[in-house]
Amino acid sequence: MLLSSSRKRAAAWLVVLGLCVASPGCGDPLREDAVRRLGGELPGIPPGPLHRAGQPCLVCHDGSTSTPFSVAGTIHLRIDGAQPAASALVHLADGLGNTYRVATNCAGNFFVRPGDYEPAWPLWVRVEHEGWTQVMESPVNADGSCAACHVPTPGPGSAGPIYMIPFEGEPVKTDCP
Amino acid sequence: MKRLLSIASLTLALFGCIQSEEIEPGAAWQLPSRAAFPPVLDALEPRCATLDCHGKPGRNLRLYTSSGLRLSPSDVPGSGSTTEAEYEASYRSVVGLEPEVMSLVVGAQGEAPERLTFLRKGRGTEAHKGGVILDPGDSADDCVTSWLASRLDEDACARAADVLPPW
Repeated sequence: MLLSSSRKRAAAWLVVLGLCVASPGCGDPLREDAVRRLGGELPGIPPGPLHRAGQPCLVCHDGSTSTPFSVAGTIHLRIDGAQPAASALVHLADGLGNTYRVATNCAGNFFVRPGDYEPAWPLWVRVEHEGWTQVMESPVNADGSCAACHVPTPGPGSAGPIYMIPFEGEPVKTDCP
Repeated sequence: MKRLLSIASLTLALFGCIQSEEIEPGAAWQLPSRAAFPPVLDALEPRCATLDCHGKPGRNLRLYTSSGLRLSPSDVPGSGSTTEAEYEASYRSVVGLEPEVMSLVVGAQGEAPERLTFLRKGRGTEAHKGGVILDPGDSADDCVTSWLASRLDEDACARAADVLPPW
């Protein structure tokens, strides 16, 4: 059976629409671009709790393609950001007074699932590690990714990476696989 | 029927024109006080100016503060105080969003400040990712609205700026 040209056009649009709906990235070019700019996985570190230390977790972990997180980030040992702070305790307190505590893994990463804790902004953060305490002076108001603001190099738009010890020192042996 | 529709459309269009507020040609702009702005920015700082909100360079309302986005390339968030240049840049940012509406609000001694988008968003009456930041009657809202009314409530601004971590 031959289709009229208008029906062919309609069918073509339906196919395009169907592909768009099926594709998770379609419709949000900003998110796609943000994901692309993160680059690929590091060699030897497969996707999982230890991957992409220091990157803004919620760019992907927003529930559209990866497990959703409400708050997530990486804590570094020293000011240079070269090593992770494993087993650091991250204390969270939100605008309603609800609190939550989570520990970092051997990569310095921590993540919170919305089912466990979904903060009502503003969110206040305090981190403890082996006698050191760092308190974030300003609240978080909208973005649960620490690295959305805490980029590797300090500058006018970032205080730099989150660290526990405010000076450089000898590397510490880590047991991360 | 066609004529009726045309008349209805024209009437609606005219209503639209009549309802929009405009400054009279040649009228002087009435902007809120620049001198009184620093306490207002200090009150907005913990609520609006963090790096994940209006401390982002991509925002139309871009606020520069000591704990958020810095104006000088050599400054870093969290160090020092908000500089005069940062107060100036933030003032221009707030005033420059809707200068005509702001002039009308200030000219009316701050009456109906919700004509301003930034106030509607702050109060959450217009879509705002950061949610409700200003509640009518709270210190931050009093601070902003009193500034728009040209009678700054410094106590309200000081209370609003005094936001401390819960520990």
